[in-house]
Amino acid sequence: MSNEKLKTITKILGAVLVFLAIMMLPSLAISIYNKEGQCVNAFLIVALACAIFGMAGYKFIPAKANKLKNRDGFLVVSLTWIIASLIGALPFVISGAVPSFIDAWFESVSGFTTTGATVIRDVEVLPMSILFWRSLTQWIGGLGIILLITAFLPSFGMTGQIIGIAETTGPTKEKQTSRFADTAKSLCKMYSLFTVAEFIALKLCKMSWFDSAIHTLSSISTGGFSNYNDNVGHFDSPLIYTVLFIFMIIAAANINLLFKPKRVLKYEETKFFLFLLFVGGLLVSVFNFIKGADTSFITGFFQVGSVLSTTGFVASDFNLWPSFCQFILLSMYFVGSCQDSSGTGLKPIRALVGLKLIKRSFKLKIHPNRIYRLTLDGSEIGNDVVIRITNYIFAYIGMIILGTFLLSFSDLGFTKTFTACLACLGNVGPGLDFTGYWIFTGYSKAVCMFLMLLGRLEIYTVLALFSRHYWNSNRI
Amino acid sequence: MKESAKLTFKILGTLALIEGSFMVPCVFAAVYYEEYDCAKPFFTCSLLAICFGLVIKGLTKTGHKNVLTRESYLIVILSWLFCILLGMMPLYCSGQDYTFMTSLFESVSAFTTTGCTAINLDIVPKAILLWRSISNWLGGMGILVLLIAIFPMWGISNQSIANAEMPGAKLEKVEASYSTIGKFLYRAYLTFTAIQFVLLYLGPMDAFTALITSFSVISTSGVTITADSAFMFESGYVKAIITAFAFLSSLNYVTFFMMIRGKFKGAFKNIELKIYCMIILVSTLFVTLVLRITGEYQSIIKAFEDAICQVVAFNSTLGFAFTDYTRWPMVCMFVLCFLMICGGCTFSTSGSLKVIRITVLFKVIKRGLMRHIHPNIINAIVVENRAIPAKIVSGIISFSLLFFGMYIILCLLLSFSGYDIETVMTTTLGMLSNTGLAMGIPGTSGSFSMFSGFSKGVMSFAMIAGRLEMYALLILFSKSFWKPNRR
Repeated sequence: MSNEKLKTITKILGAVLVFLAIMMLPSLAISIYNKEGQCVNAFLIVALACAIFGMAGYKFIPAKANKLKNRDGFLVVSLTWIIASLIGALPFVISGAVPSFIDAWFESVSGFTTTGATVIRDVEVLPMSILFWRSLTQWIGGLGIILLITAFLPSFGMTGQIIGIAETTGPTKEKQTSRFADTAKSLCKMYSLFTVAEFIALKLCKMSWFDSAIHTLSSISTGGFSNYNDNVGHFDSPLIYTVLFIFMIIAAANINLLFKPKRVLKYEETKFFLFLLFVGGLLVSVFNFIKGADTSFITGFFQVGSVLSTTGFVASDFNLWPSFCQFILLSMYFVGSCQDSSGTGLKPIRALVGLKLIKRSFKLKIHPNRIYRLTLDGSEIGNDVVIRITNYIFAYIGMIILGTFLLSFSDLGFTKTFTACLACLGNVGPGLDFTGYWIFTGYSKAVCMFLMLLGRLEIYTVLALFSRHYWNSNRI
Repeated sequence: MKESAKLTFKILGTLALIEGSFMVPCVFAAVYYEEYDCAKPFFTCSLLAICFGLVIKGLTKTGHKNVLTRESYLIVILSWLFCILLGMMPLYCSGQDYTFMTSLFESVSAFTTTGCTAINLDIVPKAILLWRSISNWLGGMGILVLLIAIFPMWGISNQSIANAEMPGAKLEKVEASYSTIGKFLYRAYLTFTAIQFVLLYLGPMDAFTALITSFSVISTSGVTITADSAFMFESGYVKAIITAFAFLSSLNYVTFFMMIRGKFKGAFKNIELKIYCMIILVSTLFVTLVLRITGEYQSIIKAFEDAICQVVAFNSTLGFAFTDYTRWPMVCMFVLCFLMICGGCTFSTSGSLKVIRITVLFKVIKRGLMRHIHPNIINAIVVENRAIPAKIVSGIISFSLLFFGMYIILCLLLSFSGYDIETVMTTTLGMLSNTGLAMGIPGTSGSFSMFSGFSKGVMSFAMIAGRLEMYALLILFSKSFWKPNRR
């Protein structure tokens, strides 16, 4: 790691700090407005400290941004997310809302990675400013920290492109515009537009100002935090469920949908995603209806959409559902939301290519020497892309096995352990057979945090940092 | 009559003849133990099967003919289904009021060498117990035939990587040596069974239990202990014998072949063997330590004893419950579950993914990491300093994807039974990997009797799919199988 690179990285991290300081201002305003003494102090201290250190880092180090290579992006992005989550945890601790540091850090990681898993047993007693900050972290993480910074700081452009790639999810990365900064800006515009639209829609459904804000930030980022202990089940209103459902799906669909809807709707991935959503929702609703577990039709669809989009809102207690419905939900945990969206998970496109590989292998069994091409959206998928996709699928399965193994030390039973691992790696949030992550020990919480970061940064970006090959570029 | 249909009939006839003659000992056993209810169905089935076999043999004459790939798939599936259906007949007619699905489940579990049960073994007639273990043994033999002669032809088995480093045994090409190795396989299989029987008989076992146990261990099926013979399995000697033979029978049979030929160096150079031993060692030590540290066991020696028995039982897909492992700490159970996914070596009677595939998958993950760091690098999967052809890697990848995909689908189907997630997931895994063990409710009770007829059907399907390496059964459901000329 050369000196030049170190400087550039410090500069970027400085920008991240400044950005976080700016993002804390709304919470600061809320805390002042509500006269939440401790919280005012907390946000003021953290924001000021971030601003000072960040400016120092950003301003005083001369810019030589182009020194970075693609692979340096992994380090920068991983560092960015770890530091952001650490700083995001500080207001929780300093304000005394979440006294234990590991709990606060968990909450912050879960926010930034848009997981929405919580360790706070009673969220309703938390101060409003803290609740708002908790939801805002998801909003930031939903689009990506680096992406947001690139949108706000135009001079960041070139570096942004290099490291932004390490942050976005999905196997094929499509650019909307030729310049990354422009892409970031237009994405940001869309994101904000939909945030405002959902906010207004929820307000029209007779939610309070604060509730609408919190749930807007949670759903448009596919996060899943709520300010009620029983999550969105608190509202128990089909109208609100429908609005949230629509915006969750929009957030989980390919964001290019908004630029060129006709083309994206024809994507096989989008079709597959909608197919899963429809069939899963239908099966769950019908089966719940037959078994009399949950007679409201909308909650079945809502829950499937919530898991498939990796949001993780809980509208009805699915621990009471019949086993079959739970398994439908579990298989949705695997898939996740479309590429180029604010959701994460394995992505339908990868699952689809996996299915196509299976299909091809059957044909090959009959005609071993014939050559079958894999096609997606009418054109052939490159061999390189297929290899990358299969690598990722098995890395994902490997991480599920590893994660479950590490979590099983807590001795909490099969279902809890396995679903917690799935929920964290897929950035969904709630698992089955337990209501919150407070049942886990500090060690297990740390494992969960690691899994969430792995899931959000697409595994290899984080894993690369543990590889010898990464640190020694000449080694093969 | 079409040539291939004739061939199919001929094969089915031969199978009926074999199975019918293997039912004869059960008739004697039934008479000896004065279980006349059972003697009748066994006698009838045996007689019918033998007559059918002889008639077919007399009627059909086939010349040498090359079988098309599609036809060979059909023949294999039909043979297995035929054997299973024939094998369930004595159970169904035995007057023990077993339902159709229960008898089918029992027969499938026996022939696929899964070895799980849905009937109350305490009150089962001895003749039926004997028939179950004989069908275990026949099933083990059947899978060896498939592995050596048929799967390589379809490109399912991965022996070409597993064995390519073995000098002298180039199994891919040598058609002439098929019969040599084939003969050797049966001899080895028989010898192992005999040695194990003698060793067990010398111990605290009576002849009957020793026979049943050695039949089911050598085929990695794993009988469930009946109440009146449970004490025999308490002894350390018996445990050691069973574990040792389970380990041996989950090894690649070619290893033994090489050893007989005196090529010890080549035999032990096999990477799959090394990794398999490593997996067993590491997991045994890990489980032992966890059991001791958590205070589950007071003595480390006792912990080690139970750990190694249970680890081998899971990894070789034997499926023998020596102790109540469901009371072990969660992390131990998870290790055992992982071992079920792993399975034994290629070319053995063990089921599941097999060690060589796990090795390749691990390398696939590593390759992904390298590609992520160096986006333009071109790196093949290397096993034992030899690049594996892309076609084989792609075959292994598709197989594993299919395995996990089927796993999810079967879990969904089994969840109709309404049992909890742990029960459903581990039961499906136990069936698909032909281990026959599970956690949750069947784990504690040791029996799968609580499942409904539909669930038993699903489980039987899972067992056959797992045993026939997925493709051989699932290909029936693909369009291209029925319409070979469409692209």
